[in-house]
Amino acid sequence: MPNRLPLLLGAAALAVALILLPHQLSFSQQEVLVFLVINVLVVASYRLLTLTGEWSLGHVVMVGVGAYASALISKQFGVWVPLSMVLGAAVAGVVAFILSFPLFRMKGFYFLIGSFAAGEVIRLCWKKFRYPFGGPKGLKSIPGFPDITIGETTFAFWNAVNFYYLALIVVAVALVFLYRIEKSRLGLTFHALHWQDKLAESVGVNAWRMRMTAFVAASFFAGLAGALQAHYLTTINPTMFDVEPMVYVLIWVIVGGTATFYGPILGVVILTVINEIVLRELGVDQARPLFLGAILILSILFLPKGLESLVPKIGGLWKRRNKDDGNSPGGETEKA
Amino acid sequence: HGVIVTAFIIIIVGGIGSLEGAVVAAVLYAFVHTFVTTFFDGTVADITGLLLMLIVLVIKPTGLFGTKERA
Repeated sequence: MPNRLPLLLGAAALAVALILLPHQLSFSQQEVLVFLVINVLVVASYRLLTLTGEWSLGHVVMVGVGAYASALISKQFGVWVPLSMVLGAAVAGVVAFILSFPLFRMKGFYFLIGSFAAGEVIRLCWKKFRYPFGGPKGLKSIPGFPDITIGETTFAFWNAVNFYYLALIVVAVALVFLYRIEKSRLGLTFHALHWQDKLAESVGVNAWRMRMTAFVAASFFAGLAGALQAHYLTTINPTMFDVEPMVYVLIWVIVGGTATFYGPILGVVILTVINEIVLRELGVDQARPLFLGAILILSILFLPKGLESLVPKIGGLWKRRNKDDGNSPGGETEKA
Repeated sequence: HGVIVTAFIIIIVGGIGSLEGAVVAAVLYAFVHTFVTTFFDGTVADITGLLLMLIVLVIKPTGLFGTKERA
């Protein structure tokens, strides 16, 4: 058992850094930070699905299902917003459950196409039906997260910094759940389905049911991310959930890598920082998708295993420099 | 919809790698799309096209004229 102390110290340092971070940023960067935290949950839940080897093109639509459901539940029925967020996430899970009946008859490329078609159908239904989904203009004046008063101070959640802390807590709890799922027996079964699906089925794993479980769980957490987004922006429309944000999710996940839990999170954090802060500082607003595409191509060419493959190498370098004893040259290698 | 989505639907419905399938699927898709647009509206037509693709994917993933080994 390695010494746990550096890990704990690192986690504490990270927590302090995350708490202090928004106060160092400009107003627009605080907004970006809120969406970054929400997107971390989107990519982390997407990874739960990619564990089973299936790549979906409907994940952002699941985010939208959560957003629409939570917005409608709180707006039409006056349900308390924290409760409606959980209900919205649950609705996304139920939709995923229903969709898994037709979709998991397919595998691989066909699942990719099928999930795209199903997602587009759902999205076009929001666009088509003015009641209750509001048509192409979407929903407006969604109730925000209620203020929390602790002692003398009141936290209002229209404020980007306060909502950042809320999102941070929700996302951290969700990440703990996702991590536990991945490390449990269930997560190992997902791995088995990814690498050896025929073998896994031959020892009695119900492949359809396992894929369905992964899809439902991933959609639940995606829906939670969507609910956070809906109650922060207080307005949502179908265009927010079309193919373009889905392509961004794919870029984040591919550049970050999917072999480890932190890979997609690394991808979304680094690419958002590059996209929103570095490229904006350089003044190339209009050409930012060009740079992102170039980064995607370059990372596929030179870093096919994603940014996560750099982490053990850096760790190995660090160890060798500290201890120069020569054993474990590659550091602790991840088993993919 | 962009042209790319339309092309995609036609390729899937016709069967990947099948030229005659693409021709037949293009005529079929164009007819359905125009028919629904005339009697309902454009968004419903898009939904119908996607549902057509979904149904083909579920029932016969090889497409109308696809060969078996592609499945």
